[in-house]
Amino acid sequence: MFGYIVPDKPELRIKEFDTFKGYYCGLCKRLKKDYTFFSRLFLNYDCAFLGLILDSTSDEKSCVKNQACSFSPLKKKCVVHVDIAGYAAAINVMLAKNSIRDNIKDEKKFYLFPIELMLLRGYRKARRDYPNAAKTIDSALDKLAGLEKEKEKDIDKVADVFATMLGELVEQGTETDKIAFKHLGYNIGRWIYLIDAYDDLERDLKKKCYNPLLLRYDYKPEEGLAAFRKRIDEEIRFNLYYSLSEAANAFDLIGIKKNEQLLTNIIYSGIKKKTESVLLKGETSA
Amino acid sequence: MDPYSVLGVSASASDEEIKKTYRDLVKKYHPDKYRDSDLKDLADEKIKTINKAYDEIVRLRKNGGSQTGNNSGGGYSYNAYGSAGGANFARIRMMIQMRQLNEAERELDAMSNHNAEWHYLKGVICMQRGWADGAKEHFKKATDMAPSNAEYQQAYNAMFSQNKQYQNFYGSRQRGGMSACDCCTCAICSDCCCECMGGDLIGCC
Repeated sequence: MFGYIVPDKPELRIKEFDTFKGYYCGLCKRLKKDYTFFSRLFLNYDCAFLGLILDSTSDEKSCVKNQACSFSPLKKKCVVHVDIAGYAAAINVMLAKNSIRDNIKDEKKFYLFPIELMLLRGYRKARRDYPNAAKTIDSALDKLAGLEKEKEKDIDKVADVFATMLGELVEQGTETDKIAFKHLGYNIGRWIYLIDAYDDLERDLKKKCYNPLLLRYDYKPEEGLAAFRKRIDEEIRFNLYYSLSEAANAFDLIGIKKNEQLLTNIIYSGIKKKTESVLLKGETSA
Repeated sequence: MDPYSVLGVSASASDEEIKKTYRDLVKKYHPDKYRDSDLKDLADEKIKTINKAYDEIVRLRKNGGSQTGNNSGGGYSYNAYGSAGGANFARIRMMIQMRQLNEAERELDAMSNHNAEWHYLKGVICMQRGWADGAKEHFKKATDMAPSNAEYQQAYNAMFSQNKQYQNFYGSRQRGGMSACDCCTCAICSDCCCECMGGDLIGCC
């Protein structure tokens, strides 16, 4: 489900790219430290971004170290250690566990059971560490499950649940930052939900799973996926870009103190290119 | 004054053409563009003339040329929050302005008459929530039902231009350079400005 928020690498300066990788490594190290070695396998870019953006408003000086790790034992890498990485790690574990659960339930991938079990210890600890975040995630996923069961076809309504969840998860900092962060989180969340739904069209169709886009735009089996994709291209594009533009407007209002260039790259270019690549992939594969 | 010449169309133009020209002109002089500008009064004046001319044409065509009959009143509503539509709509607009979206939506849902204004307000609520899909659909319905209402049209277009703005942002900010197109546009605009003030930048035009 995750991994959509990435920088536009060719447009980055090398030091900015190193910073991004540093936050990514920092999150990975934190996952191991707090939530067992196993949880690192579920490290994802979206949570690295979460740590990066939440850290951008803090005055804390980031601690940068050159460290090796078990995935790259010979070459030392630059790792950024910040406090907020603990929060990002917890969210990462909780979301990963829930996404595995979904896979087992919806797609009957029972071979994932042992993996879920291995993640369980970290998951329980994450819930203890951040009970409020756990509550937010639980209630959102419950609501989503309900809407899926009812075969809800209003994509605004379905995406709203996930978007609200992400908004609440990033609502931090000063009063004004809180408002901006919530708006940013909401719209990024809406974008993630929709682009994920688009990305999963083929799979959901094959496995006859719920996909809000198929219902919203009234997919007919005789039409074929390629034609369907073509038909909804303009609509889905409009929806995705509208959320991104709202997110960008919110981002401009956050009092960024660190990594502004890198974050601007992600918000204005990285996720834009991701949008295009997912849309294009859909068109060529179908 | 001949209303057709005000809009710059021929008297034989089709309704569709006139509607389009009218829309373009309203867009061109829209107060939102001149919100904080010294040119605002000038733009307002323009809009008034265009509205009058458009209403006149609509009336002429509707009545087959006779001068009786009342004004169709489809012109650009001047005050964004004061257009016609009854006390209910006015109250709902207030609620939306105060960001009481759930209450406003409840009021709207309780209404049975789904006219253009109803769709427009539904769209505004969706938009404020970030629900682009619903917003687009309701704005579309509102503009289809009342094609000459610039408020609805503007809300519809604003979503697209916001998307465009986002999509064009990074390239322009990052490189700081100009495309060939930008250069020309800049030169032409500067020339127009100079001519407005009595000077001239590009001598030949």
